[in-house]
Amino acid sequence: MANLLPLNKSEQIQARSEALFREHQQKIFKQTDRVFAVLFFLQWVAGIVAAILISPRAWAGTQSSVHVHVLAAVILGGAISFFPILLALLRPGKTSTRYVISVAQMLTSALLIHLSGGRIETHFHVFGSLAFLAMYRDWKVLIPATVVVALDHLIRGMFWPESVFGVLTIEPWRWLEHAGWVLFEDIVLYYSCLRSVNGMKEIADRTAELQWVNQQIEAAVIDRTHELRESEEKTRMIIETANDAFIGTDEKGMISEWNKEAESMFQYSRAEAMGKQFSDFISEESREVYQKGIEKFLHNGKKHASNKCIELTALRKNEKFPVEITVSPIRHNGSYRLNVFVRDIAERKKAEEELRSAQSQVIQAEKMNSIGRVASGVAHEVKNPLAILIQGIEFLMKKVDQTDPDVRMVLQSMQTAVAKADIVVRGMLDFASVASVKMEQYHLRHILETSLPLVKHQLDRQKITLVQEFRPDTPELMLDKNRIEQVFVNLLLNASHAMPNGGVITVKVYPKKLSVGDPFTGKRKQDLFHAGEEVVIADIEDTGHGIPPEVADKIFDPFFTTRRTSGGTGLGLSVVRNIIQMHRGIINLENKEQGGGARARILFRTSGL
Amino acid sequence: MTMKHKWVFASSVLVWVLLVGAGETFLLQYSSTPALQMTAPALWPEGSQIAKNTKLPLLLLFVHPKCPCSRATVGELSKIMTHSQGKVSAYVLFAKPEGVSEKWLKSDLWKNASRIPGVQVLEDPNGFEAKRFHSLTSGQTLLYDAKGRLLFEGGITAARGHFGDNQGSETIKQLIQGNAVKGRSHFKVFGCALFNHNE
Repeated sequence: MANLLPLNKSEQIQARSEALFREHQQKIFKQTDRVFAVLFFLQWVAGIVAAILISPRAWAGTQSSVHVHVLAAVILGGAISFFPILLALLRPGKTSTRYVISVAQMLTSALLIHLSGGRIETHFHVFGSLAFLAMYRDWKVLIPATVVVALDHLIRGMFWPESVFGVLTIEPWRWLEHAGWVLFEDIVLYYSCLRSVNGMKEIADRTAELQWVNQQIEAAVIDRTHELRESEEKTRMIIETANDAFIGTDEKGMISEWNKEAESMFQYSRAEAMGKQFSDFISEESREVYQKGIEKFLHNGKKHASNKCIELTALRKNEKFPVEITVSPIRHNGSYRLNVFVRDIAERKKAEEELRSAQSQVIQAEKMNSIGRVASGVAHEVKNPLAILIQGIEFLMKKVDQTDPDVRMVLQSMQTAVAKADIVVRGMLDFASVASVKMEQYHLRHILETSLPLVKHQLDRQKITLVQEFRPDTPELMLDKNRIEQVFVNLLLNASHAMPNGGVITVKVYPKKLSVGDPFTGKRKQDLFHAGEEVVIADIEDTGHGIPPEVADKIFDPFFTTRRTSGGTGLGLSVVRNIIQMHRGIINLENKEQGGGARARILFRTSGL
Repeated sequence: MTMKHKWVFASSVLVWVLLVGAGETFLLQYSSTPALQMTAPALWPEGSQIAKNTKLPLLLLFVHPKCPCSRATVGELSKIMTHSQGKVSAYVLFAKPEGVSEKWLKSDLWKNASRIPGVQVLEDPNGFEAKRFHSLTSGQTLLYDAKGRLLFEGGITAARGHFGDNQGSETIKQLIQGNAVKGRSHFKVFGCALFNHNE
């Protein structure tokens, strides 16, 4: 059964060494086969040339014919050479090819010796051939060659000794002497082959070991590369999925990295942004700040601008938006690479603004509450003395002779002053009393209709036209009827005061589904209204002089009035806002976008009071 | 290698071995087959034009100027003469058929023979002397003693055009030295025919 366990280091090297050795050996075998193919051809040609030069023709007197040696060189020489040439070309590297070559080489030696007339010099061909065969570095190849020489001498020594040894009465063992010299060379070549093979094995061992080490190094490199790729991929994923825009630039600010958030934030694709200057994406007023910071850093290496959050204004297709950037410089190949993280802080800014507004509202509410308590206390304390004063003035007006104009004027002035004080006290009580509401289901239209008769006289007197637009699909709401009546009366009177020379008051009541971007919506839980919520809106618009900008912020403050001289207490709008807030609604007072005049807009929630 | 390939390969090797073996055998056969030979005159022929030295043995070598096989014979003669300097008179007779040029006659073989010390090279017009001494083949060597008695006849190479020690040259050396020789004193001759086939 085959051993399926993985090979250990030495076994791996051993196996590889053997493979390398065999490969090298095969290469030598094939190369030597090719050398012999060429050699056989050259020997064949040389044999023919030698035969032509030495014994071209056989003579009989003046008659001649081609010498048998020439024919032998061509035909027999060709026959000897052709087969090993064929094998060397068709079956290079095979053991049998080498053995045939070995035999053929010795036969070639015999032929050449014969053609040269047995010259002793030609016998060196035998020894040269053995040396050539040793090029195979396979000592076994010498065996067939030696056997051929020995057999040649043995057979010819037995049947025609003079052709080999020159004398007829030769000793029977003489062939052994000749073969002995061949064996002598064989022994030398045998050791030479062994040493060559050992050298090849040593080279194979060293190569195998080197290859093993290389393989280990390559495997380690592949592993590290893989890890590096994974790490790069992770980094890229982090950068690509980051909530902040990541922008990589060179020292000169040219963009080389641009993640998905950057594409979304600046609305430039990666391909579009590449090669552009990062400063092109910063607004003109912020550009100088950014560039100065970077230049300072590059000049003195101090990180003025790096790793700090800087708030700038960025550009998105000519639209400005606030951003916070952090620049991280990295030294790479002698220059800096700037990694810029950009965060869109528009939402945060808005939230901060809303928070400030909410805080302001809380403070305002607290203030109102305090004022309410104070007003309530003061009103209660002042109310009774005022009642006594009013009754006293009425009594005096009945009892005192009013024929004296001075007396009459004093009494009337007292009566007017006390009446004014009474109005103020009543207003203060109203203001302070908005602490609880009694909710019932009503149509806003119904409440508005019951409120109108209360202001009709005032509107008629000022030649003010009232336009009513009620959407029939407006749902019923949970309302405190009296309080909402008070709101409408206050707002209608306010509108009439803004139009002393007459005009038009338009009252619109309609339902609406709030959407993202509506000024009254917010994303936070604590926001009163959210996108998707159903509300009922009541708009009261006038065509008067509008709200002066300098008073816009104080319009709902208690005791703030622009009609102090004409009897305004400054408590009406404060009371209105308190009532709306008790209904968890919103009131907003602003100038109309078109046509002049102001608009009071009230949002009522349809559910969840 | 499939069994079929093995058979094809083995058959190819066998065919090759047989083919080469047959070629080698033929070549050996050719090299070891002697040429035509006639018995030389036992006594020095009276009509010979060659000057007879009465004090020393006389060696005659008949050569075809163009015979490649006789190159080995001339080489062997050189060795004999080196060994027997001053103890033998030697003539190399180059057969000159009628109508051939001087250039044809004085081939490399002539020049080689001329360079051997103690050897006199002679033309043998129409091969008269060769015929007189019954020599038909290039390489035929004769040794007569001072009294004109034939001591040796035959070739002094082991095979056709084959260099190297051989029984013929060894025997002739011994005879020149005046030693008695056991066994035969005439040997096979390997070389080209001195005369046309129709002569």
